[in-house]
Amino acid sequence: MWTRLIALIMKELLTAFRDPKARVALIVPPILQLFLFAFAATMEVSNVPIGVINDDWGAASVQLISRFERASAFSEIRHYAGLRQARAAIDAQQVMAVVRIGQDFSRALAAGENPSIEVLLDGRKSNSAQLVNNYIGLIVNQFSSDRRLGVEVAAASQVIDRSWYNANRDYREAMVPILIATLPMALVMMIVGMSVAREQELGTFEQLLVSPLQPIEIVVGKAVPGLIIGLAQCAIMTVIIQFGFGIHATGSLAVLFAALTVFMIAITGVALFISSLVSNQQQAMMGIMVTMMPAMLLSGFSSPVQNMPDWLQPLAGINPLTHMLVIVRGVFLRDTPFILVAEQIWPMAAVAVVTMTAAAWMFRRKVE
Amino acid sequence: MSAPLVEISGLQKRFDGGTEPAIARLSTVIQPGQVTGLVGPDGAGKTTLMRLIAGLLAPSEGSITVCGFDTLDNPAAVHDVIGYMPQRFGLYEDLTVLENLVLYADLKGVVGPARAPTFERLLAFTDLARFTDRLAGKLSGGMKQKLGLACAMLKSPRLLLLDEPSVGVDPISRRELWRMVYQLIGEGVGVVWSTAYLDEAENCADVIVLNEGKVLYSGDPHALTATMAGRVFHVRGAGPERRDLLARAIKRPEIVDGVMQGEAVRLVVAETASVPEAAELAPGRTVSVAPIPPRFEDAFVALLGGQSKRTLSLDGHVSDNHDGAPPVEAKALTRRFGDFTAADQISFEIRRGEIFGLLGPNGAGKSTTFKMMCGLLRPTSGAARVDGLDLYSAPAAARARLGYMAQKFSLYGDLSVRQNLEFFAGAYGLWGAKKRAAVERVIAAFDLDAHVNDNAGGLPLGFKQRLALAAAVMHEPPVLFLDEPTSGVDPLTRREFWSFINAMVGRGVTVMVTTHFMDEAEYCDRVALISRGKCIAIDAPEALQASIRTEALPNPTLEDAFVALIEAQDPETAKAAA
Repeated sequence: MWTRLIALIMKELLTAFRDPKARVALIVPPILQLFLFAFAATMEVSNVPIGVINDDWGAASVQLISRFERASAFSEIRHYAGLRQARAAIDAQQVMAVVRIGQDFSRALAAGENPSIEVLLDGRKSNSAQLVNNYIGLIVNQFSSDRRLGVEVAAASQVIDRSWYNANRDYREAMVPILIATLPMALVMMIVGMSVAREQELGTFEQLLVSPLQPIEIVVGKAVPGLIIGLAQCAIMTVIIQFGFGIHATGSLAVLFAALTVFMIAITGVALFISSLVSNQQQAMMGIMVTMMPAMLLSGFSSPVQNMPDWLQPLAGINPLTHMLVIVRGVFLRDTPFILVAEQIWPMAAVAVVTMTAAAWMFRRKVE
Repeated sequence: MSAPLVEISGLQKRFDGGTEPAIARLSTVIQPGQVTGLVGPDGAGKTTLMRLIAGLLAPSEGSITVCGFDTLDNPAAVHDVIGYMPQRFGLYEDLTVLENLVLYADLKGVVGPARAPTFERLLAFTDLARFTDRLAGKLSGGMKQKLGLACAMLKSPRLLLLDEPSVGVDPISRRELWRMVYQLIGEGVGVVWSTAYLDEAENCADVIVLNEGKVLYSGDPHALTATMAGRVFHVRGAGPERRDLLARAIKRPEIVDGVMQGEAVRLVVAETASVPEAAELAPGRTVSVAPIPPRFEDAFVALLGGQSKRTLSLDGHVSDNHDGAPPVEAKALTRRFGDFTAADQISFEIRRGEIFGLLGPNGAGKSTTFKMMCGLLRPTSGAARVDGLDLYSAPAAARARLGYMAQKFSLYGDLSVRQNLEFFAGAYGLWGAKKRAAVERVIAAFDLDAHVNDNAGGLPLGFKQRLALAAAVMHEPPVLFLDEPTSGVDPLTRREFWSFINAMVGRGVTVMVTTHFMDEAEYCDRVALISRGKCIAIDAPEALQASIRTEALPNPTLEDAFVALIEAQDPETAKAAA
C-alpha cells in the first residue's frame, strides 16, 4: 500500500512542478496577490481631495480651512463657489466630501455662539465617506476646543481612544496576515479540485482505476500533495510577511502552523468532494468558484461575522476559513494562548473529517 | 472529362521551427464526381493538405485553386464551395442533433425558405431524422460522423473534404458512410477522403499516397495494387506456431511485410525475391505456401519500405499461479442501466496464450462488457474473473494480474517517459531494486532509450503506443486487456504494435482486445461477436467467415462475416444500414 501511495504522491508533485509554466503559475500569482492586497486593497483614508464652500469671509473660517490643508488624510482642498459646483464635483467623483461653512461662521464664533458646519458626503462610498466624515469632525472639534481656550466654558468630557492589539491602527497589520490562510486556500482548492477532473478528461483516471490502487489510496494520494503544496505556500507567505513587511507574529508560529495543517486538510477535503461530483474541468472550476466566494464572504474576511444575521452565523461556523482567520489574527496581533486556538481548531477538524469521509465515499461510488 | 475541381501546383508548406516541410513540392489535380483518397501514415501531412485546400492555412510556396478560386486570394469564395469535416468535427455535444444543424445552418447562412428542404434532405440522407432530439454527445461514433457530414453538406458543396471520417466507426456505419459518399459523387460532388485504413483506398478512384510530406504515389489505386502481383503469399498449416513463423519471417531480408490473417500468415516478398521456401519458414513442420491476389495495403507497405524488422526482446515465460483456472472468464455478465440491458448474460472463457477479440457495432455492449472485465463497471449480475480471482470481490489482487491499455493515449503527457514508467511501476506495487529493474527492462525491450527523458505528450505516435504498452506490461501481468489499441493508427505502427503483442503471447500472456478494425480481428485466435447486448457468436475468424460462405460470396472477408452475422441477429440494424 505504501509503495503505491508514494508513487501516486510523487507523480502528483511531479505533474505540478515539472512544467516550468506550471511552476511559475504556482508561485508567482500568490506572491503577486499578496503584494496587491497589501498595497492596493487598503481601507484607510489618506490622500483624498475634499471640497470646501466658504461663504464666510472671516478669519476663523480661513484658520479652519488651513487646518484641513495640514491634515495628512487630505491631499488637496478644492474651493467651490456654490452648491451647484460642489454637486458637480461630487457627481464626477472628484471629491468624496464637501465642507460648507456658513456666512456667519466667524461672527457667531466671535460672539461665543456655536455655529454649525455642513458636510456633504458621497453616499456611494459609504465606508470611506464615513471615515472622511470622522476626520473632518475631529478637525472641527479640535478647532473649536482650541478656540475656546481661555474662554470660560465647562469642559465637555473628552473621549480618548486607543486601539489594543494594533496600537497604530495600521490597516495593513490587521489585513495582511489573513492572506496566509486565504491565498493558499484558493491555490489548494484549484490544484486538488481540478486534478481529478483533468485525469478524467485525459483518460488517465481509468488507468488508475484498473491498477491495484484502492479508492481510498487515490483519495489520500490526491490529498497529500495538495496539503504539501498548500503548507509550503503558507510558509512562504509567512516569511515574506515577517521579513518583507515587517509584520511580526506576537504569538507562536508553531501553533499557527498546527492550525494551518488542520485547516488545509479541511480545505483539501472540500476540494476533493467537489472533484468527486464533477466530470470535467469546467464543472470543477464552477464548483470551486461557487464554494470559494461564499466561503470568503462568510469568513469575516471583510466584515465581521458578529454583524451577520443570526441565520447566517451557523453557516459561518462550519466554514473552516472563519476559524482560521480568528486564529491568524489571534496569533499575529495578540498572542492568543493555545487553549483558545484549540477552540477554533476542533470545528475545522470536524469539517476535515466530514469532507474527507464524504470525498472517499463519493469516490467509491464513482468507481463502481 | 470536365475541368478539375482543385488544381495544386508546386505546393510547399513549412511550419515555424520545422526543419522538413510538412508538404513538399506537391502538384496534383482533384476531379469532380469521384472520391480521391488521401492515404498515409500518421504525421504524413494529410490533415495539413486538407487544411491548405480548405483555405485554412496559407501555402508557403505554390498555389491551390479550388473551383477556379485561389485559396490565398479569395478564401471566402473557396469556403462557399467546399464542405470540410475535420477529424474531430466541432459538434456541440450538449446540443441536440437538430440544434447542431440549426447552428451550422445559421453560421453558413442557410436561412429562410431554403432551410426546411435542406434539413429534410440531409436528415433523410443521413438517416438521422429519428434522432433529431438526441444530444449529439449521446450519439454513437458512426452517427456523430453522419451528423458531421450533414453539417458539412448544408450548403451543397461542390467539394467535400473528409478528414479521417471512419476513425472509431464500426464496419456497418463505415459502409453507410461510403454509401452516402457514393451517392454524393453521383451528383457530381468531388470528395477527398483521408484515411489510415487502406482497404478504403481501394474504394477510391484516385489516391494520393503521402509520406513525410512527399507524394509517393498518385493515381489509380488498382494500378498500384497490380504492381504487387506475384509477390503476396499465404502460408498455412503452421497451427499454433504461426506467430513464431511470422516473427521469424519478417526478420528475413526478402520479406517486406507480414501479417496474421486468421489461420494463415500473409507475407509480401521484396520485388526481386523469389517465392519463399516453406521449409525455411517453418523448419520441422509442413506448411503450404500459396500465392494470393494482392491488395492495396501490400503495395502501400512496400512503398514505404516495408515493416520494421525489430521485435520485442523480452525473455522468459510469465508465471501462472492459479493452475486450472482460465486466465480470463466472464460468467453470465449482465449490466442494466435503468430498464436498458447493455450486456445480457455474456459468458466466455479465454485460454492461456490466446488472443481473444471482442467485436460488435457501436453501442452493442462491447465496451460495457470490456469495462466489466477490467473492473471499471460493476456488473448487475454475473462474475468477471482474471486468473480465477473475481474482479469485484478481490479487486486489488485481480487487477494486479492484468495489464490495461486504453483506447486513447492515457499516460501523463507532462511527465517524462521514465517518470511515467516509474509511476506505473509504483502503482503496481514495485519498489526499490525491483522497480528499477522493471523500468530498465521495458525501456530496453521497447527501445524507448532515445526518448526516455522527453515528455510523453510530445512523442511521435509510434512511441506513444510503445510507451503505453510498456506501462501496461511493466508488472509482467499474465493477462493483457487492449481497448481498440490501434484505432486511427497507420499500418506500419499497427504492424509494429502487433509484433509486440505476438511476442508477448509467445511468452504465455493472454490477450483480450476490443476492436472495430477487421485487420486487428484477424490477429485473434477467437473472436466474440456482441450485438444488442448479447454474445451472438464465439469462434475463430476463419470459422466465422466459413459460416457465411455462399455461392454468391465464395470468399467472404471477416468484415462480410461481421456484417452478415449482425444483420442475421438484428434485422432492424440491417434495415437501418440498407
